[in-house]
Amino acid sequence: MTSSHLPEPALQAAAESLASLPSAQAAHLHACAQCQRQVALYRQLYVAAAQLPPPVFNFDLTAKVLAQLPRPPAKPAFTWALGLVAALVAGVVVVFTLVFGGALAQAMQGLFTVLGAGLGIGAAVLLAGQCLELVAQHRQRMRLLAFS
Amino acid sequence: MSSPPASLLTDQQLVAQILGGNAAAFGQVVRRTEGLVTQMVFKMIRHPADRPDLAQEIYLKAYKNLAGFKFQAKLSTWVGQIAYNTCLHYLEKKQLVLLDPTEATADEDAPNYRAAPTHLASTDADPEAALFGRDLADILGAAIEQLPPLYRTLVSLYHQQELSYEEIAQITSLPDGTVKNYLFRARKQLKLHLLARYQRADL
Ligand SMILES: [Zn+2]
Repeated sequence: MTSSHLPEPALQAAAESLASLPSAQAAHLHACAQCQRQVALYRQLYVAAAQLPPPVFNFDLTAKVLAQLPRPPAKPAFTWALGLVAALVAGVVVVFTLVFGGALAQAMQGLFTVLGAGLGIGAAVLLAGQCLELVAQHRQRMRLLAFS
Repeated sequence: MSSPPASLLTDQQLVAQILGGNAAAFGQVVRRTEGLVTQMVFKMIRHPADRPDLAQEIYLKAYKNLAGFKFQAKLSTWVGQIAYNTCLHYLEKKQLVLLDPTEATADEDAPNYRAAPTHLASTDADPEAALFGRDLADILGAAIEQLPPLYRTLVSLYHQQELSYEEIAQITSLPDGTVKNYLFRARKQLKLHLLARYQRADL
């Protein structure tokens, strides 16, 4: 009997599941008290290992990890602030237009009148100058014709 | 219609919430995985003072890289991968090893294994019953602490966190066969430790 005791891998496997043994080894185990004790010892070892208290840290790992996570970019806050600034600027423009709109329009209107008059005078001066130049040129040619 | 509580969200829903700007939802990721991460940090890192910072570093890495998680595995497995790699990097920086090469290549028929009190197995004494009468949890807990860090980690992931061989292989990037082989050796060392304790107590 001793010459064919189960090898260690078979003893360990049998301790987990007897169904894993080939039939010849299962038959030997059924008849051999020594192999049965070895299997029982492994089984006891497995049960005891599974029941060992798991190690634990003496602090809250989840809380520590969450406290160290990189903060998400402050995109929502930035967008909100930008929107607020834009709204304030728009509001100021609207109020300014409502309050000073008339005076501004008048000021602009006066400005346009002065500009238009200036442009008209300028154009008239240029036209008169051109006419005088043409008359002078005509007289010059007449004199040249008279002496030729 | 109100949204379901964070504890009921699927991995996909939870990740979508966090990536959508709800950083507080990341707390649920921590709560779901802190058992696994704490277990790994305690088993891989011997120096207690370094464990809190490492655990927090693991989660900060997970948070920063969350957009890169493509659901190829469970979220907990992905966090476990980050935990494993972060602890591995720490050990490398400190020039510490997770598993001594001589342990990794030890033959199961090596002398240290043969020196184990195998005679106990052939007597009529029942080691299980004998150990049962003592504080088996204390003895086993101490025995697990004496294992190399990698064996300790694998034992805790399989027997305490109840992960499958495949999940452990994903977390550690070790081949399935290597995970099974290391676990086999670790369990055998634990058994021999228990038997040796039994023998000493019996003298
Ligand atoms: Zn046998």
